[in-house]
Amino acid sequence: MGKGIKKYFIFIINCLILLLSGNFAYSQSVISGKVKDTLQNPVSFANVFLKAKNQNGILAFTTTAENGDYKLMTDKVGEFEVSFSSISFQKKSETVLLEKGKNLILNVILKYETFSLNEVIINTDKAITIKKDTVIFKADAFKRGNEETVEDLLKNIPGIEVADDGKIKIGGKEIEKVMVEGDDLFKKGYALLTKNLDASVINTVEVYDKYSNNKLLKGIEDSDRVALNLTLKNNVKNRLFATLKPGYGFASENSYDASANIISFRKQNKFYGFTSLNNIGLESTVALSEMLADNEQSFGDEDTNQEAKAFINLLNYKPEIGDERTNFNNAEMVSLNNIYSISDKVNLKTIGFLNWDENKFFRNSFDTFFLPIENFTTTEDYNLFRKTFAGFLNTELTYDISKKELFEYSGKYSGSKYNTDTNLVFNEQNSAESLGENPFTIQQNFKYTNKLKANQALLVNGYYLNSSNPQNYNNNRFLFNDLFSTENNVSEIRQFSKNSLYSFGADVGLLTKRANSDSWNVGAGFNYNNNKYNSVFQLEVVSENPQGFQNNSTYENFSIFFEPSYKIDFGTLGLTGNIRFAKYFTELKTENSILNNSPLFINPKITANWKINKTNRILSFISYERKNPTLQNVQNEFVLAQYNTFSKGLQNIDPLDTSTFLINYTLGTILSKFYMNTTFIYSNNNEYLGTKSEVTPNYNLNELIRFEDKTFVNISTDINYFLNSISSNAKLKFGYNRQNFENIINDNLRNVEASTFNYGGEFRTAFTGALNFHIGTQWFRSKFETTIAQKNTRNRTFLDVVFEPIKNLNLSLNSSRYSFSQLDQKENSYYFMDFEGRFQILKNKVSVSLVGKNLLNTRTFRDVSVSDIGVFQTEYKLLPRFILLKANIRL
Amino acid sequence: MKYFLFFFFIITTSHSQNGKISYTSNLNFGGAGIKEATNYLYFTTEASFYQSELNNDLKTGKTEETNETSEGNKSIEVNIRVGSDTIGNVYYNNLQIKTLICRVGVYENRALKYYIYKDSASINWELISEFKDISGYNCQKAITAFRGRNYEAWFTSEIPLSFGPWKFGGLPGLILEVYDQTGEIYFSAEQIEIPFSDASKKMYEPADVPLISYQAFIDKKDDLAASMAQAILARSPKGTTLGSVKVEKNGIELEYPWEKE
Repeated sequence: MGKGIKKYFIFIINCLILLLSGNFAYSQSVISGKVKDTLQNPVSFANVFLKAKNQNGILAFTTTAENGDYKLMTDKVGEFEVSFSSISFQKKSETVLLEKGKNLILNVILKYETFSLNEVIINTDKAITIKKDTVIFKADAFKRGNEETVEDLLKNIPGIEVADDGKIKIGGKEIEKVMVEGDDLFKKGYALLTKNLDASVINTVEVYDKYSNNKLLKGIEDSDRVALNLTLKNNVKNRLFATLKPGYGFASENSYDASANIISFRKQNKFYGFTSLNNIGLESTVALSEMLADNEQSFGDEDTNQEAKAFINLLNYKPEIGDERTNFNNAEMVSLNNIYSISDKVNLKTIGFLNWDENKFFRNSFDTFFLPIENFTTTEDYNLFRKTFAGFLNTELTYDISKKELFEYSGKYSGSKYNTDTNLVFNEQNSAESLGENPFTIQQNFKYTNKLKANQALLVNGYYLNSSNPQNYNNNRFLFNDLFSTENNVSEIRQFSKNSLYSFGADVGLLTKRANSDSWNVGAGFNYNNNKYNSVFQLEVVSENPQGFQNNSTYENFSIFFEPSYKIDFGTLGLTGNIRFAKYFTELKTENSILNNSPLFINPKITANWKINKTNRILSFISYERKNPTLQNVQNEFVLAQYNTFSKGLQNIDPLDTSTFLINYTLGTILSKFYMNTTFIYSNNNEYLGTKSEVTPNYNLNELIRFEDKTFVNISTDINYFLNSISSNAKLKFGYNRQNFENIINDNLRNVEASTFNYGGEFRTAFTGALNFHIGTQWFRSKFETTIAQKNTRNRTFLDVVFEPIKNLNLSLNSSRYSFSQLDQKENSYYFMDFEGRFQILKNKVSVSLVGKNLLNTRTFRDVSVSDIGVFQTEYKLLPRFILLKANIRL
Repeated sequence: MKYFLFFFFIITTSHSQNGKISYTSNLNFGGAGIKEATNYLYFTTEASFYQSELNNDLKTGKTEETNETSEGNKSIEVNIRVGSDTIGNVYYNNLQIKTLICRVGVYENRALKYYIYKDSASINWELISEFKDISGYNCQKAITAFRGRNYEAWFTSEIPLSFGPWKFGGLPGLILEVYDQTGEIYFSAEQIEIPFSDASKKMYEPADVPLISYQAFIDKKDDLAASMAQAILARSPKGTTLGSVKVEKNGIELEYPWEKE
């Protein structure tokens, strides 16, 4: 009885649910039925779908079950079409009238039809297209709607990583450049582009793998470089893009750091303008040097980027605590980059900048000399003030002569004007120096490339260089009474000097890549180098200039060279051998002598790269090199290099040689628990240039002298151990180097053994949380041994902490401690602390940051160093604490 | 009667159709670079069989390169290569039981190991009223969220097959293109051959390696990636910006049924 009621009750409930659900799902109607073939067999897995009449889009769909039944639900109302399709049957469509809540039954019979298709699908709208060494990403496919800058878009593309400073890496490798429509405005300074250009204007992002700067060398030279190219949408090429970055002192007097830039990309003409000013010690030309970075291939031995060197260098040493801590400056700069396409085949690129700077630098030295006969101390209180005006212009012209020929020209013009005035208290007496400098350099390069075969190219380079560096120095104090016996009272000393360099050359190279991936290259060419040096040293009121302190020499080098190289792969072992044959014709002309020499250099080098197995790798090279001495090495008379120091070379133009052996061994990989990297270097000079010095309390005379047999040994190792349990890495570092050489101090020949030993450890966390830190310490011990030993130990300890409590806020605190063992116990350590907090207000539009430098307001830093002649303590004045409030606004 | 039965048999077999569809896949999980592969889907009226391209020449293992750039920065590139055995990754879909039988390799203890798991998850597609032309076929867009990724698929009802690459399918037409929103996953049809008489010879239900649960399979995959990423970050030199660290899972499937709330 009970069971019957229960059954009945359940039935009622079920009916009720059915009834109610029907009512609640008032808008749903169900089309159901059976699909059969002409033989009344059910058609299983057939597609059943609903479309609006005469329209494309499928609104709802289902498939038939194994027994041919289907059930299609929809909330649509009106006249619709139900279609039935299956691979072996003719498609059938039926018109249905759907009404609210009304169910339809539709049984159909499908006719057999064989479906056949043999077709290649061509998808022209692919998100990713892969060609050989090029991957093209369609930008729209990677936009998620919230990206503002190109950088954001690139972050969306898998495989492309963008660091906070804008550096872009693809597959772990930093990219070479970011081009726009094939034009490169920025070289390594591409972050200026990717951080400022609007993402919405990008059509495609193209990644070039195995990229060659010279497109005709693609596939011929071995390249592991990667470059990016952005193509723009057609309708945006006339827009301007700009960014403002103001920053002003907050709770610190009058500090500022501000910059602004503007970009435009027209088809014919693309430009980038940038201006910046700061007084917080930053060198504003850093971004520029990245834009000028050059890594072109040339066979010439001579460094084509050389300039005439300065002989007097007043700002010659800065402590290793970051240049901006001691740089009291007031810098302003403007720059403009422009690319103009004259025709399809000819492109002209110009980069120009102007830079103004005023730098102040303060140091206080206390030097103790331990010399063979006597010991003495000198004191120095030095204030420098320097004004700089520098200009630079670079033009590059490329002409695509044909598909296989390319002509390139580049011309660089740079000129600067430096005026330095100093206030010097040396050995407790006052003096004032002034130095005027006007370096100027013109450099022109021509390059012709011809791709002879798919795997072979011919390169022809020509270059011309003209550089001069005149310097005009005076000092109102005469320190050299003992050196120049004069009865007059010398009120001032002066030196006019001019170093000029004139050079040209040409070379031809043939690059060939063989089918088995071996490659061979041959280069040949000539080079002419003319280096003139004049200096006049005057004592005021003395009519005759001191003898032995005037230079007028010309150093000429003409060389022809031939250099083959071959690279071969034996599975895990790769060997590269090259040998350079160079015949030199060298002449050193001074006022009363001429030296001639015509040496032949044969300089071989063999490099081996052996991947023994997964965890063991060896890289090694052995080389022998002969070289001519430089002009500074052979300059025949003394020249003033600092207020109390004269230096001169050795009139001997015989070549010098160096033999070098290097071996690097890696155990484990960066992923293994244990990872070690060890490098050993040994080099030996049969003959080398050492110093012969006369050191006195008031002045120093340094001249070069030839000694025999110098060896240098260096070994360094890095040991890592990863602690899985706390996802952190512990690292130990050791380094040791030693060299033996001879020198002569105050007529005593001494044997010096110099060695440094450094050791330390680091610990870095990689927690997944908001807080991470990196802590480390390192000691450097140096030791110079003659008859007595000078020792020095310094230590640097740091702690960096990063805290990201919420998504748009990043706080970092970097602190460091420097200490020296030789200083008085009281003042042997210095602490620095810097802070930066960054908050994003409007993603990529507006962000603000608070930057605090030198929070502990350390005003001086005293460094100590030793050499074989003494102990040098130098105190530097530091920029005081400042806090800047900065903003970054994209217009 | 006997005669009639024989006749019936002839008809049904002649109408059981088969075919082969080639898909290219671009899998691009940051760092390792894009991998393009050609994969084949074979089908009959009862089942489909999807086989990833074999990488016989690729040895399983990891490579790593440290590049020192001019500024003294170090960059480290780590690639894990997963090669394949003679069969590779296959996905067998029995339409009757609506279950995928997957045979997939993982990098376990420095070696490639294959396992079989059963996956009965169905993909719930939402049809969108957007259309595009791919190679002359009018394609409609369908979207879905599947295992941590949001996919967009373009299918055409002009080819009445409800198949697609990898685990995709179940639409009223063949999928010609499917990708996820991050761009890490991309499949595109390259060639269609219907009929393809060797299809049934190519197809089989994989059973040559151990059958494990889906969850056990995923656990094996995740373990390694997490520990490696942390090792790299902890070893970065000073000077590299120290940011917070997120260990990301990579692979087509990012989220598993048991992870959902």
